[in-house]
Amino acid sequence: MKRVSQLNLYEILNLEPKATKAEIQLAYSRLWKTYQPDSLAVYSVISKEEREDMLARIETAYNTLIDEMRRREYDRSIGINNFDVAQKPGQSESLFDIVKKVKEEDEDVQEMEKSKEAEDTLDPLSRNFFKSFRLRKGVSLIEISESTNISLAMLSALENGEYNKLPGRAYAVGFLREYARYLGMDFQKAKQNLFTWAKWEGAGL
Amino acid sequence: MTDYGEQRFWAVGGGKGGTGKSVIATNIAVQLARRGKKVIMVDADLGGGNLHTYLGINLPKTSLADFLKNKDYRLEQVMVETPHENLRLISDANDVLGLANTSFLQKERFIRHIRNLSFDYVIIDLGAGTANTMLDFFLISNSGFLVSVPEPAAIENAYRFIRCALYRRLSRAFTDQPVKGLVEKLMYPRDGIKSVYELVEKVNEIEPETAKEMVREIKSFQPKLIMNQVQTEEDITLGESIRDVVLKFLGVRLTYIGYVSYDSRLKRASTKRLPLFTEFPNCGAAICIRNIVNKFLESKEGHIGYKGGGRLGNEEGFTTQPV
Ligand SMILES: Nc1ncnc2c1ncn2[C@@H]1O[C@H](COP(=O)(O)OP(=O)(O)OP(=O)(O)O)[C@@H](O)[C@H]1O
Ligand SMILES: [Mg+2]
Repeated sequence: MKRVSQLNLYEILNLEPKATKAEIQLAYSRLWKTYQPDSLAVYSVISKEEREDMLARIETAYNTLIDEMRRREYDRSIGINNFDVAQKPGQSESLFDIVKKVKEEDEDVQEMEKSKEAEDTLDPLSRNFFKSFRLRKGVSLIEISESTNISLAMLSALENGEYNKLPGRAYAVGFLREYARYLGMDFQKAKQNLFTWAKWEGAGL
Repeated sequence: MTDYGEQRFWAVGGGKGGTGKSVIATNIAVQLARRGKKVIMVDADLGGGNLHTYLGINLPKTSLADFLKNKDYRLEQVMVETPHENLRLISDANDVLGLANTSFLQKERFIRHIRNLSFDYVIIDLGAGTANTMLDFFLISNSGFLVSVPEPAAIENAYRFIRCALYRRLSRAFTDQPVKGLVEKLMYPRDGIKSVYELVEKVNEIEPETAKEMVREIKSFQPKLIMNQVQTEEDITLGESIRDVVLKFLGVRLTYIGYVSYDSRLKRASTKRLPLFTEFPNCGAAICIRNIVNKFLESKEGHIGYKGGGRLGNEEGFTTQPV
């Protein structure tokens, strides 16, 4: 148990000392939102001063940890040896953008979904079937990703029919199986959908 | 720690009225019963109970209050069957005053009796508010679930519920002066002690050993948050934000165990007084709850036989060994 003023920069962002850049970015964007003036989470429970102080700490934590030089220096000052933190090339940098993209798209589709709420059946072969099905369940891609350990990029590609981004047919089916299981979706139907559209896209799976 | 043996005791509460506590408690119970677990639901809503309606049965003639008030009553006498196999109910039966004034010993007797019955799960549905009876059942449970919705008032009440529950727990655990006096000041932050951090520091100045015990007590209080009636991704991440604020400013380890989407069919079902999930077993909300139950059962804490939680200080029948 520590007061906010006693937390180190990792603790401020709820991160492990070996956090990747992508994790730092994600934590930052979530926390930054958490402590905005209009955030429901801070309403009624902390003072304006506490909130502003917290925001400043989040900002400092992010600026320090996202910069490799400064992070190394900081790590040394608190006795963490982090120099061999492996950044997976290509993946980590773009994760934040993917999360953002997924989120924006989700909101669009959600609007769409609301307007046709009366319609109860989804066509399992329709282009948008996976995403519509998921949104009706109220499940986020992030959640599926966390639970299945399939990266957001892969899930997003699967859902958006960008089959050429998937590493091949066997993987695509494997990912789909996990995805369908998590959502309680009929796997056979889901596979049919995948094969219908993947062929049509000429993705060479 | 309260030893329930293999039996799991889950409480569903959370301050604000109408957030969906009863709907969620009912569904958790039905989900478990469908898996072949023996489940008993307890309606502890201080006179506002409606679980019988949600389960599709008429208002039972007997209630929990009958058992609490009459020493000769056995729990079997106040239980009723429900349309669901493996699921029984102890109703609240419009008891207006009984529960609100229950002593701790009466509650303890209830726990003792229910423990002797061969139920795998006890699911207790708490009413709105922060009355001591609500807090006590919440604290006695192995796992306490807090239901909120993405609205300012509901979130405000959830924070209040957490603060009150923690205060109740500490004031039951530390009954000797001068620590007792310090704990009491926690409830009046204006002119008293502003946070648990300050409390622990003050206690540490006079009784370092007690301070350690207090930290353990605070750390072992781990309520679970469920965000109900969510409609956007933002509503979903709000749960994460609440978790962060609770940890950093209230010093409590709240777990965000999941969310339940807003589902108009659910609303319709309850306005028609239809038993909820027999009507729409596969609506979005039901699936979300199924996910929560699955996830929780897989966790260490959700596992049958897990011995954590369930502490309400050093009352008779409840030991206070450090966790
Ligand atoms: N996810 C949901 N989607 C749509 N409606 C919901 C949802 N959850 C609950 N409701 C509706 O909200 C209303 C209140 O629910 P419920 O009775 O479970 O609340 P409660 O927290 O138990 O209330 P109280 O504090 O009065 O006991 C009901 O009409 C219920 O159908
Ligand atoms: Mg209720």
